[in-house]
Amino acid sequence: MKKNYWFYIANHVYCNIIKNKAFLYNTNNGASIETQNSNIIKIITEIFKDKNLGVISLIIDDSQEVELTAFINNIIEYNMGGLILKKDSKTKPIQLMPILNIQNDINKLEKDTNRSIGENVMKYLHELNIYIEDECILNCKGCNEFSNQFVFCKNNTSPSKMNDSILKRVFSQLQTSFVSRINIISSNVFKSIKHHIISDNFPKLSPRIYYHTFYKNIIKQTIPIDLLSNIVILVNNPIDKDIFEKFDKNIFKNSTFNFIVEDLLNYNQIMNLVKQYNIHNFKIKPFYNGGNINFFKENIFLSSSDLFEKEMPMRYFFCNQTLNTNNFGTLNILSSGEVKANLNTKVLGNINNNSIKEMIHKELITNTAWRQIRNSEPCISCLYQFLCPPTSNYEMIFKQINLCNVKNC
Amino acid sequence: MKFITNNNNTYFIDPKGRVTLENFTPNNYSSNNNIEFVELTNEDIKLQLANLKQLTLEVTDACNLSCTYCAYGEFYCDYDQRKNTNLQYEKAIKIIDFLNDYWNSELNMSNRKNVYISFYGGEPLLNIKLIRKIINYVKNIKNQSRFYTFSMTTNGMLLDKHIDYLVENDFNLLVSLDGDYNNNVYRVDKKGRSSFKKITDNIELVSQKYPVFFDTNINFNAVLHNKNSVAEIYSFFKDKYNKIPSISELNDMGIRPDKKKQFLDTHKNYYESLSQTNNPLEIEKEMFIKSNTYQTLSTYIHRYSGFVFDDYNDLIFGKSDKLIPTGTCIPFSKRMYITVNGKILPCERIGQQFALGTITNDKIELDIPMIVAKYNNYLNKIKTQCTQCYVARACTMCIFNIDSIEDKCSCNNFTNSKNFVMDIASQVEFLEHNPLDYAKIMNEIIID
Repeated sequence: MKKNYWFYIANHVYCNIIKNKAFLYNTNNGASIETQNSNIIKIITEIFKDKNLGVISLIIDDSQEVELTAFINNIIEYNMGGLILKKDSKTKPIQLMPILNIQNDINKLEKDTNRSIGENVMKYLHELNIYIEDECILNCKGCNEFSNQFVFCKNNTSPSKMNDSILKRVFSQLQTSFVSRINIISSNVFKSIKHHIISDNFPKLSPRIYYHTFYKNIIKQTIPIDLLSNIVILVNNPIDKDIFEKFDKNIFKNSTFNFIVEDLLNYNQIMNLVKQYNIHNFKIKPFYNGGNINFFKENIFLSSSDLFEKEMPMRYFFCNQTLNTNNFGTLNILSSGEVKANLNTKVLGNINNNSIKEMIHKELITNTAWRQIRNSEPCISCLYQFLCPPTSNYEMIFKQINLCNVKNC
Repeated sequence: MKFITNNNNTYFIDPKGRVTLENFTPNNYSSNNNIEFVELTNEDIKLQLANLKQLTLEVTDACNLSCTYCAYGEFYCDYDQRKNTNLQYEKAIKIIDFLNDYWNSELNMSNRKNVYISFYGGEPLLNIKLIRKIINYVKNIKNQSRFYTFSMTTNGMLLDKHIDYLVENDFNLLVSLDGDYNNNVYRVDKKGRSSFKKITDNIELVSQKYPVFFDTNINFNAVLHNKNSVAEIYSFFKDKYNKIPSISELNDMGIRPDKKKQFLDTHKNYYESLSQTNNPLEIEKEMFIKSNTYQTLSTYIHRYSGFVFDDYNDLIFGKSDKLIPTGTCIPFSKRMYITVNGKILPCERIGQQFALGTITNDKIELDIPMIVAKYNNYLNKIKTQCTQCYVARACTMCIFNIDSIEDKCSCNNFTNSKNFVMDIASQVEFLEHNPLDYAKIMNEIIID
């Protein structure tokens, strides 16, 4: 028997249609549906057209394609939409469908001669990494490669040190920013900077300041007890366990340890160390050393199950379509004064000559890192293009955009 | 929450105020909607001054017309007496310098930002001398982070004399005209003679001499009253100039008690006027965002679709739940208005008794802690009502447009759940008939 329905897909469903495949994702509960059925794809395409606002007319009868029936049942079961009997309905119902609208989007500002991309840019500064000194005598294997992959101290053949007046100038520019975290990084951070330089000059500075320092230099320094929770201890391989023996127990309890991991053996050692010293806060930083691609493929590259591990809101998809949340809002200031949006990208300017506003403005225009999204092959042909997290430093190091084991192109 | 439109479609309202076709969540939309009402701070105001978008200068209170319904005319009592006064150059410069210090301070958030310098009156072109001096001064301000756009609201009577200068300085002009000859009966000169011919001759001259400027820089504003209608206004501007005008109702705040009847006789309601035409929707579609219907729809979509973000921070972190009560702007977040007497106001649309400061011969008197205390006092009076109001998150009510603000203070726009649902239902019903307008608004409209 034929029945007339309104068939709708709810506005909390993200949809991606690529060639002959469609992907629907419920941003409320993480459920998803994929299909390659051309009739179903036609229906989905129709539903998402501007004129339809998520709803189409559908006649359902007993001779209907089995696959379509199953699709509709899944849509209903996963709370992704439904069927409404037409009965007395005089017009098609509507939904406000997910069209991304950023009022002050760069593309809109660019077109408006009375506006500028440079307006109110200070609010976009969220995090600052300040490499305060790059002189180090330790000569660790792989040094300088670390910081290209994650926040870590670095060395330079022509070392430089940021002087206090420059630091003051940086901080004085932060009044209107949204900076919530400032990382001050050096292999021996308390030798490079005295905390009072910051606390005396900027007692009202609201962001939390974190001091990143190499673990071998900790024991040579007296660390103010009230700063322990603001200290990030950088640990590379091989780990010198004797140094851990000399640490005050409060360090294990309050500070954060960032461990470089290069292989599984290394990972297990770290886990043992964490257990042995009862380290409360630690992070694992996988390091690509040129010879451990298999470790990355097996443990770091994304799989489908990683992508579906937790439910993602619509805002997550919108973000990934627009900007790179790994990079957006971060500036890196090198000890030479050079500023980059990412240590692997081009220099935006120099803090000695350019204001922070100027460099944010430049980054918004040139887009070295902040708005780098998955908009090239092979990701552009993948159904999970924007379910996948934004590109990271690893993609830049590998010079490969898809660090994943997902085959969905 | 649930409602059925006149088209017999059933909808639910989810906890975020979005309409759905099924009740996907057990939670309801509630009046407080997770809003945390906060107070204004000194820093909020300093930040707005350092990032000001528009400075409007009333360069003269003199006018060459004597429009019956003028906001500074016989109907109203909430303005300083008009004495053919001109704004003093020194005062204008003083406020520009004062603001420029803020724009050069660390509170400035922009590397490059446009500031509108707007001229207002009276009829601003009667004081072109001052306008020229101010523009010369502004052009020489040393501030890399700012560029300037000049704009003016004018009655058009002197356009023939000054158009070369206005074109040279790329002015954005808003010309006041109420439609055709008969529609324009209230726009008269001091002797009561119609201004229509002079203004339209001047507009003709501009369109002939500077056709590109006419297309891009000239807009019209018409006041709706009992001698015109939305349809007449629309047709006049569309046919004669191929332009869509803004249409404003007469301001109903600050009416003199003894003029109330005359005011009400003159006043005409936009929707009432529109409903008297054969093709109201056609006119509104043509007028699009300049029509009240599309403005309301656009506000609804922007506030309740859940897919509109002010900027990238909104997108990354989500919208803030911290709001000040009502829809009142943080002072100077949209503009600063300077009267001929040097009064400093947050806007030209509010009564001059609410001035927040003054430019004296010696200095700028802008007591920020006093302004903060004043606003918080007003806002606190109404906060309880806001916590129970269903449109608190989307409120457009300015505290200065609330009657009895100095007394007990009661909001005319307070919306209970029933009215909230009715408002949403009417927007949804409109979209049921006009679904393509949703994408058009989402893709084209920027709300200031």
